Amino acid sequence: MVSQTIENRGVKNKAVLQSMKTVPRHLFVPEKNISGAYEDRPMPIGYGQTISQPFIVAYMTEVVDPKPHQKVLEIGTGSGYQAAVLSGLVKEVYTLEIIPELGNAAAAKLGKLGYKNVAVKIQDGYFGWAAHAPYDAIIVTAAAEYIPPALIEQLRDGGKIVIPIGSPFMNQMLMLVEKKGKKITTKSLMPVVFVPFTRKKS
Amino acid sequence: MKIRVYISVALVSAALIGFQLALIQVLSIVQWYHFAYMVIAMAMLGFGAAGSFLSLFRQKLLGHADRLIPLLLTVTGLAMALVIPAAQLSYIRFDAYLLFADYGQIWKLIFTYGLFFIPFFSGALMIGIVFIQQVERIGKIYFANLLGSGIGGILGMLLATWFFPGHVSVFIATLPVIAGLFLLPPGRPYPQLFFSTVVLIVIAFRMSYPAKLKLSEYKDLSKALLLPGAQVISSKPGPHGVVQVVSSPVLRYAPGLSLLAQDAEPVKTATFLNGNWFGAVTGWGAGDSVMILDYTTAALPYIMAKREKVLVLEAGTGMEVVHALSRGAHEITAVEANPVILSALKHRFAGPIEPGADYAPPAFRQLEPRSFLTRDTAGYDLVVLPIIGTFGGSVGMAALQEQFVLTR
Repeated sequence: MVSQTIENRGVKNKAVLQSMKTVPRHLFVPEKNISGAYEDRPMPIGYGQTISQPFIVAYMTEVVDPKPHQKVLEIGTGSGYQAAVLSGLVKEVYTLEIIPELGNAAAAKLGKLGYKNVAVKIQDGYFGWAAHAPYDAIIVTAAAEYIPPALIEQLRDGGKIVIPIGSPFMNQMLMLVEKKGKKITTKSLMPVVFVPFTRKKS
Repeated sequence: MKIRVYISVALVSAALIGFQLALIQVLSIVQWYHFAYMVIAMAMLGFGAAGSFLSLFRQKLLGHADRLIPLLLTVTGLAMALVIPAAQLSYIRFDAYLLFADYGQIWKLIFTYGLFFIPFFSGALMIGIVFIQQVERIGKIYFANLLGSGIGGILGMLLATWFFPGHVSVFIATLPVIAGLFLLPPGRPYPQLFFSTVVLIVIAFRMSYPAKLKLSEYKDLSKALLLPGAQVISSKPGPHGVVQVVSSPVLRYAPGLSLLAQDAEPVKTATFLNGNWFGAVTGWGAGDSVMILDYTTAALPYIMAKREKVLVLEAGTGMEVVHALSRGAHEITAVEANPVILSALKHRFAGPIEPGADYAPPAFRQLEPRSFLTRDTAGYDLVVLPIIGTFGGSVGMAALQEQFVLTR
């Protein structure tokens, strides 16, 4: 999966590729979908959510350029797969999930698999997680129509947010948001399709 | 006897068309509106298959026509009453969104297709048998068929205006059963009479306990109801679909919010049409979400110049109307084709907009935007179009496409 569908498609960060090889994706997908766990496609995990396509997970991780000393916030824990990938790359991962069933299951799974530097909280991701701010990077794993102001506020100077922006059930644009002093810049990366940010609809 | 044949053909024809409309509504709610095309294909397959069946077994079918016709009619009614709840069973129910991930969904889709095919097949077979059996009166029978079909279309629309889809299909199911009672077989029709009675009891039961439609977990409404504190506070049927209003303290809506915005207050209430997001319901106080539109491109025309007279096409839940009011527009015309939504809008703006305000409440028109534009001769300082296509990368592409509901 990593060499054929991720590395071949342009993800070059060696640490990210290693993390993708190490994390057992089949343990994050529903049991009935295990046979397809390493195919490069999203999979349903219930509650109207999906586990993202591996390439997108790797790409978004690479875009924020994770470093071992960093602290990263993830909005939309879902299955916990992205958090698990980040766990091996950074010092601390904080992840928010608004659906209690998903968040609790992900927390249990991450704990059981030994991802000790991941903290899961059941909360509306719109407000970020101020208690542990600022963050070196913020990864939003569900489509939003706009960039929540709180996330920009909780981003460290020089930090990066990667977030799909656009209407749900249509194409969105994966955006990179960078904060340099008082200046916020955005850059369109690629068209994507994500399930909607659960805390709002459009 | 002749008149009873005409009535029966008309009733079953009405039922077949009405049931198509009911199915379209149901599939639009539990899945997406695209399945309307599937319903039409199913109906055509049913008619085609019935014709083929008739041509293969013509003699046998005609030999038993007297008993077969009422039986087929009653089976049609029974199928109409039961296929929708059957298709909602967990081991049959398909989810189009999962087709990409769970290949077993394809079989569920095929099975559902087969279920919905049954009433069209049996109803069409009955019509085909009558056509052949009484070919000397084909003109009048065909007239009854067409008349019934037309009435069925109107009936389906009227029923959808007043009743939820679960009730509509069951009501329609009575028509072929009644048609069967008009054509009871000669002699001792007790078995048929008994069967018809049982089916009517089943229909009555379904009327009292209509099928609960289970939406795809990926529909906007399903996901909205997962939000903390979310609840459906209102639900109304309508010819455009079922309108539901959901409230949740964490519902937010601010498309394309500027990075300069400090916050986006929750809208708290949103409207859904057939389970799909329709619009947010906002107030116009300083802390309300409509002020957030001041941090989106929607504010641009108001910043460029004063807009006294504003036309809002496809007003929906009235967010742009409220925005126009908040920006000082004094004459607002809002066009909205959905009667349920329009009624809610009118109710909302019925009272005084603001104490001491010197402008009139918005004027509402129930029309498709295109129809309104062909009739309206007034001039406006601003015409607000609905958000077309997606927000983001493909907005430009969508803007290049002609939108027939909005252009002349």
